[in-house]
Amino acid sequence: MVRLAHALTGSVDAAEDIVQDAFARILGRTDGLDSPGGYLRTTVVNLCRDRERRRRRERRLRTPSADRITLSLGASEVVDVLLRLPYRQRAVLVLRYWGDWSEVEIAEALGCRSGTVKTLASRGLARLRKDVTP
Amino acid sequence: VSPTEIEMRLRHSLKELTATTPLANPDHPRAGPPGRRSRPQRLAVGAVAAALFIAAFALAVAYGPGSSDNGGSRSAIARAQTARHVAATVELRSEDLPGWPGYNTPTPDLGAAKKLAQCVGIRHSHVLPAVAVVRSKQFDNGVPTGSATTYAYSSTYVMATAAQAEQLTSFYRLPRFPSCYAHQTGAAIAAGLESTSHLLGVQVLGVGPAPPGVNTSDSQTVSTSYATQQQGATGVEHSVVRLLFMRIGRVVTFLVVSALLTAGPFPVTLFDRLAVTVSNRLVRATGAATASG
Repeated sequence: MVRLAHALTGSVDAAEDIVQDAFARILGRTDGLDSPGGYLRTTVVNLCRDRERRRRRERRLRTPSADRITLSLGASEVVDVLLRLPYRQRAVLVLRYWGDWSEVEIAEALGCRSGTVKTLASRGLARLRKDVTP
Repeated sequence: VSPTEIEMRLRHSLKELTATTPLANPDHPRAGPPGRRSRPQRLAVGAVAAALFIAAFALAVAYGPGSSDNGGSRSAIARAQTARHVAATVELRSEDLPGWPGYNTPTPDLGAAKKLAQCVGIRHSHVLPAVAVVRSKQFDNGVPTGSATTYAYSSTYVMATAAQAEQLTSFYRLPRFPSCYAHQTGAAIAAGLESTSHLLGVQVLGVGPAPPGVNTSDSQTVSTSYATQQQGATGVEHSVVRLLFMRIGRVVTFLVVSALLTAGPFPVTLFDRLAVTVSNRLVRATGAATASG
């Protein structure tokens, strides 16, 4: 979960906070859930989205970067471009290519239709192809 | 860049990114700030702090200003103030006491006095030090010292003085301790009744002059006054029992509130989250400062 949040936010600190909040929200409510794990993943994705909205509202949005993490040159470039994508495009790419989620699962987590997931993935990949140097 | 290639690079980059994510590992705990206590130590400190807090609160309930329901504040200062005030107001002189130095004791009826002492019995009600000093001279291990006559005469005056002192004490404490006022007033009534019973008994038995309205030939007077005295004492005992239940209720309420505050589900969740968040921020701030330094 921390890795998922890290990939979505690019920040280790934010990832830990988000996962902690997600566990705190699910605490004591696992009995009424069919799939606590799925609920937890969806909660993490939504909390990452909330953090993105909050940062934008506070006008403190700057180019996110992986803090305190040293990546290879190629990976660093891809991650930087990925973190500049709109949140929903970023989330679709992360969940699809890192988490190997199905389109239905991604659509359920993001609260949209499967067709929207395809569109977001296509636009995200096009933006990556455009900005990443060969 | 081809679509396949960008997908491959994206997968590789995401795996590389998440592979560097620091995860909590119980075998390799992250280093906290220097001097940080371990969890058992923090639990022990918390338990000791909670015990000290509860003990301090209990002492405050038992001996603080709120302890008025059981006789007023028990602090040494409060007791000394009350004793000085009462001692300065209630004058108890030996020449006022029949049988004591300075008093011209009339010729007693020893048989009647002895019967009276047996009739009235020996009460050990709580009296103030000034009264207790004089009264203690009448008894030795519960047995009247000297002659029964001396006891019968002096006890009347001692108990009258005790009633006066109790009454004065109750008025003195009334503004701050209303329930204590009720308790002290009850004690004053009991002491006054005991004094009256002595007086009536002495007079009925022919030791002294009969007061107006008292039929000295009625042998029931002594037992009637004694019964009245017992009723007053019983009233005081009921009052003490009621106050005891009030104290127990207060302690139970305190324990319930404490349990809710320390073990309730909502505060635990709230405080736990808050404590964890603050702890994480401190750890990060310390780590960032160390790294930048």
